[in-house]
Amino acid sequence: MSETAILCVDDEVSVLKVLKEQLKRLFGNQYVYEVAQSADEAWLVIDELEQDEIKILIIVSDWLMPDVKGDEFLAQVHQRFPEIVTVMLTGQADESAIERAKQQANLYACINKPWTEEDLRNVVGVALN
Amino acid sequence: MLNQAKSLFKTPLIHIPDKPKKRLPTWPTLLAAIVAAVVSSASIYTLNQVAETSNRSRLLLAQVKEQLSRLNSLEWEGISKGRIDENLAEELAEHEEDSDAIFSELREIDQEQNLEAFFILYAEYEAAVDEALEFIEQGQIEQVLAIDAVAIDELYDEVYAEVTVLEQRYVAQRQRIRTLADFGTAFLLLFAAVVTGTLSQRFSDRLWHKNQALETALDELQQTQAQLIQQEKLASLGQLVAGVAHEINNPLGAIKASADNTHKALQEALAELPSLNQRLTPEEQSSFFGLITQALDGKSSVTSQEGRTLKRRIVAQLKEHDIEDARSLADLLIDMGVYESLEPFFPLLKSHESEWAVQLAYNLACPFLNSQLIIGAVDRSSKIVFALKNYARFDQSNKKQLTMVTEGVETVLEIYNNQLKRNIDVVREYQDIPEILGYPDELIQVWTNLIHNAIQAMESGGTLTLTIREQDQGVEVTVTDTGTGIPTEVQERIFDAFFTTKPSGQGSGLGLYISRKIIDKHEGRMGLESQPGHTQFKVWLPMGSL
Repeated sequence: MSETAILCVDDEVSVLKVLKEQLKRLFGNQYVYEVAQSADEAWLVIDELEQDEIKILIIVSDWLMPDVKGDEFLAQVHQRFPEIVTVMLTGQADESAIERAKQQANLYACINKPWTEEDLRNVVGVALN
Repeated sequence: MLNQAKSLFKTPLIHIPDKPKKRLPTWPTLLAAIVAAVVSSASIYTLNQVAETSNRSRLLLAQVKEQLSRLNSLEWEGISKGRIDENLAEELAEHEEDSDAIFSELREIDQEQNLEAFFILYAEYEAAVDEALEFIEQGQIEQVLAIDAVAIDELYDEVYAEVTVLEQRYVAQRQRIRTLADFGTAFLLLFAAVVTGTLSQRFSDRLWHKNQALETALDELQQTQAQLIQQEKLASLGQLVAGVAHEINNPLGAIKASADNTHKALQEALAELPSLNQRLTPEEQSSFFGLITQALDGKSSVTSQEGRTLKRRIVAQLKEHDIEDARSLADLLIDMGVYESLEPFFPLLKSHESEWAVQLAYNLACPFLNSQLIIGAVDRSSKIVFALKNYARFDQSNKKQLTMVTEGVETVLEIYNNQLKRNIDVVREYQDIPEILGYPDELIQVWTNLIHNAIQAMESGGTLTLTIREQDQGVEVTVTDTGTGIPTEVQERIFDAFFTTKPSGQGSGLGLYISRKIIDKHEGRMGLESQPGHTQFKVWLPMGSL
């Protein structure tokens, strides 16, 4: 059983589905892949994984979501789990939000939508190693 | 876009036609005409005065003639009586008095001394008569007769003839002056007519030009208003573009990744498929194809939360049957959309090749699953593009057409979807409504303004409620937000042009003004009620007629 996980957060189910499949094909079954449609749901997943003693390595989050935005969510994550690598995946490059995420969430990278498999491999693959 | 708007305002709104050149200036002309008229009137007055004087002179001369005759007859009366009795003396005195009065007046009038010759002649005649009368008074009739009365008579005739000549001369002079004055009057009237005519033509010319300029200005204002409406729409579209780009990038990202995934899945499947017979028993194979068939049945997709619940359930179920790798198998099954009645697949799931087989089944079902995703994403993109097209369209024909109000409202909600989903709940209370006759593109702008304002009023989240229903032979739309509300003093001015409460650069102040104009154009009504936490704009549109 894998002990580490990758979490994807996006308000669009279709994006979560393809993103998860893509990550799985890239990095195989050695990781647990979890998805959440909002920051609130992501916290539930984080708690569940923590209970199952599964360590989250990377969180890939959208920026524009209902209620809590990506930069805010990643900043909160960073505060609680500084070792988790934070990545933003967004269709709308809000410079100030990215800047905030860099400072408050130690943002590792920001991938623009529509992304390529190459983008994912470069960012997530390098971060995992 | 901003530059366009600027250049729009730089263009002069009114083109006044060039003034005709080489024309007399109006006011100096009028002044000169008045001066000329005054001078002419004064001259005519003077001429009339002179004519009057001539006339008076003529009348006086006529009186002189009378006095002459009377003096002559008095003289002869004295000669015939041979004495001057009391009666005659009285008449002579009266005559002298009258004569003096007439002569003094004549002297006064005769500034040019035309009468000098006459005065001398008359003085001679009077002297002769006085001498004769003195002789009569003294009773010396012989002396009187010796005086040669005939000579006195001749003198009388001479004076009388002179008076007649003078009288005729004054008549002629008066006639000349009268003619001159008449000419003057005629000229003055003609001059006045010309000046009045010219000036009134100039004024009417000027009015015509002013009128033309105003008509042009009105035309241009109407065009400018149409342009402003379009600019306003484009400006708000510009603000939306970034958000809409995000909206389109989401499905695009999904489509791209789906294609990649399909490609990889097929590659893997083709590599593994030949070993199917060796790795799976016939029973497992039938279970394998059953799994693929169920995946192709296409269950509706589940939310991530539902997915986790299902996953927990399936993991538990698989563990009950001592199936290994329960977590990753469950994950694959859910991704395939297979999560109900798993029993038929237990032969396969229990096999020691289960993970390989389920992965292969997943890869074989993948093109189908991803096609579903792609179709969904394309539908989503089309919807956004359709909304954009509707939104940016600007009907030039300006003809009413049948339109469904709900569609316009939905278009705007679609455009604003990405702003709304941040922290605003949208509640739609739509009833079935008939189509109305109206201007759909312009109505979209009304919904845009109302919804945009509502979103801005709920910076920190809230609920946007839209109701659409049939009402009073028309359609009523309400847009309600739970934002900060509009203060009473602002409510009165909110529909005014260029009135805005938004920070500089955020609002043109034209949104609600234009909205009201558009509703007016539909002969509809627009109202507002607001208190903190509840602001409602209510629009009523009639069914409309062509």
